[in-house]
Amino acid sequence: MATDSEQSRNENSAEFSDEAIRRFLLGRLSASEQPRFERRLFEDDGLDSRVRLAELNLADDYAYLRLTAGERELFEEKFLLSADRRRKAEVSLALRNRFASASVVEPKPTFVAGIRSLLLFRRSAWRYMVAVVILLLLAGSAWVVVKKEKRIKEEIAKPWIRRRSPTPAVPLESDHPTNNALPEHQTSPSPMPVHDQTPPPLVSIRIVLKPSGPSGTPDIASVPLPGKDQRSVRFELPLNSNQAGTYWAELLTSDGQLVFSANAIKVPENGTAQIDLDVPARLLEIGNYQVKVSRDHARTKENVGRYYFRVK
Amino acid sequence: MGRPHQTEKFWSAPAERSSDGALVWSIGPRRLIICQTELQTIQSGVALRLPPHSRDMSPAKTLHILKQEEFDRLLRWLDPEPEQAGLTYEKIRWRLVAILTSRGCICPEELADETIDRVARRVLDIQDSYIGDKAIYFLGVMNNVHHEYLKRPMMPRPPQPDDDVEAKESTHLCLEKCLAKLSPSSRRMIERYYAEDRRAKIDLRRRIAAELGIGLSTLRLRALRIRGKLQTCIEHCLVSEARP
Repeated sequence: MATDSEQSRNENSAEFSDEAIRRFLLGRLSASEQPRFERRLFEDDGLDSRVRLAELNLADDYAYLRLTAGERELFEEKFLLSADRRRKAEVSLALRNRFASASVVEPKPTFVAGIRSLLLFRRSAWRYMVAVVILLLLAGSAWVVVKKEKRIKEEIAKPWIRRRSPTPAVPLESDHPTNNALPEHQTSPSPMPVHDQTPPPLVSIRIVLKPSGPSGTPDIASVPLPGKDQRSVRFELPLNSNQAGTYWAELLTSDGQLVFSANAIKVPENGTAQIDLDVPARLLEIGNYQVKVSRDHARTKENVGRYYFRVK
Repeated sequence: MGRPHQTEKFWSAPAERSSDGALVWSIGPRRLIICQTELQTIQSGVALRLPPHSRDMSPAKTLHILKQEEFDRLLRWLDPEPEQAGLTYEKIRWRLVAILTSRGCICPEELADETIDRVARRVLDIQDSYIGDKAIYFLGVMNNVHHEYLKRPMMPRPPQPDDDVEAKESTHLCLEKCLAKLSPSSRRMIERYYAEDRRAKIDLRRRIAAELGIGLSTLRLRALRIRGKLQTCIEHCLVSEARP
C-alpha cells in the first residue's frame, strides 16, 4: 500500500513531470529530453517507480477509452511494442470488463480490431451529440437575440454615450448621482411622451431639422453650441409622411459614433407627423451630426429619414 | 574485445510459443526470446547474427547464447549479494526494454537481451578496472546495439496474433483469483476505482479520496500499486495455468 513517504520519494524525482513520462511511454519525447530521461531512468529509482506506475495508468486509460485519437494511435504503435506492455493492456481490459458500469464491448476477431471498432462507435456517437448541442445553443442564442433585441442595442449604446459625454462639472449636475452612469439614454420600453403626457425636460433650444432630400442632398442646419446653462436641445424632426407607429431616433457624429438615442417614440394616428428628440445639451460639441430616424415595421427597423446639422 | 565465444546447439531444448507468437527457450535463469520476424528470417536460412561457418550446418541454426558462467559473473559484478544482484538485473533489463520501446524498436526484449549478453561477455575484461555506475555502462552498450539495429534492413512489425478467446478467459479467471487474494479494503478500492465511466471519473475518485482522507494523487498511487500487484499475480497465474 502506498504511503505518503513513498509518494514524496516519487515526487523527489520531479525533474520530469507526469506528462513527460507519458510522452516517454508514447515515444514522443523531444530529441533533447530523450537522452536525459534515459540516463535518469537508470540513475533514479524514483523515476523508475513512476514510469512503472505510469505504464499501468496509461494501459488503463487506453482500456477505458480515455485517450485522444492521437494518443490511441501512438499507444498501439509504440506502447504495445513490448510483450510486457501488451500483457498490461490485456489486464486493463479485463478490469474494465469486470468493473466498468458502461461496458459496450463487442467481440471481435482480433484484439486491436476489437478496440478500434469500439472507438469508432464511440466517436460517431459523440459527433452527433456535439452537433445537437451546438444546434441547440445556436437556436437558443438566436431566440434570445430576437426577444431582447432592443435591450441588447441599448446595452451596446451605453459605452458610446459615456465616451462622448464629458465629465460633468457644471452646478447643474450637483443633484445627480455621483456615479458616471448617464441617464440620458431613454431605455424605458413604455411609450416616451413626445408631447404633453408628462412634463417635458427643460428645453432651452428648439431646432427644426429638415430631412435630406430625395436626391440624398443633406440640408444642414446650424445649431449654436449650447451654453452651460442650457439643459437640452429639442430637435423637431418632421416626417415625410404621417405614418403612425413606433419610431427610433439615433444621434450620430459625422464619423458614425452614436451620441444619443431614443426609442419607442410613438406617433399616434392623426397626430403630428413629427418626432421631437430632446438631446442633453452637454452631449453636443462643435462638429457635424446626423439624426437617423427609423420606424418599427414588422419586427425590423425601416429607415424613415436622416437629418443633418452642424454645431457651431 | 574478449575471448572467442563458443556456440552450442540449442534446438534440442523445448521451446514455448508466447502469446505474441515469439519462440521462448528457457535456459537456466535466462530466457532467449526470438521474435516472429527474426524467426522467419532464420528459418529461411539467412540469419542476422550467425557466424559464417554456420551455413554448413543443418537448417537448425545455432546462435550465440550466454554461458552460465558468464551470466553468473555478470550477476556477481552487479552485486555480491545474489538476491540483490537478481533484482538489479531485472531492474536493468526492464529499463532497457522501456527505453528501446520508447525508441520504437520492434522486439525490444531481444535488443535488451543482446545488450545484456554483450555486457556479460565484457565483464571479465572490465570488472577490475571499471569505475562508475554499472547501470550506466549498460546504457552505453545499448546505444551501440541500437545503432546496429538501425542499420539493419527494416523489419516488418510482427503481425498481431488472432484474438485468443481462451487466453482472455484465462486472464479473467486469474483476475478473479487475484482479486480474491487482495485485502478487503484493497479490493473495495479497486472495485470503486475501476467501476466508472468517463463522465463520473473525477467525481467518483474525489469521493473515494475524501472518504479515505487522502488526496487524489495519493489515491492514484495506491490504486496503481494495487493494480501492479494484480498484474504480477495475474501473470504468475497465467504461467502456472499454461504449464501442463
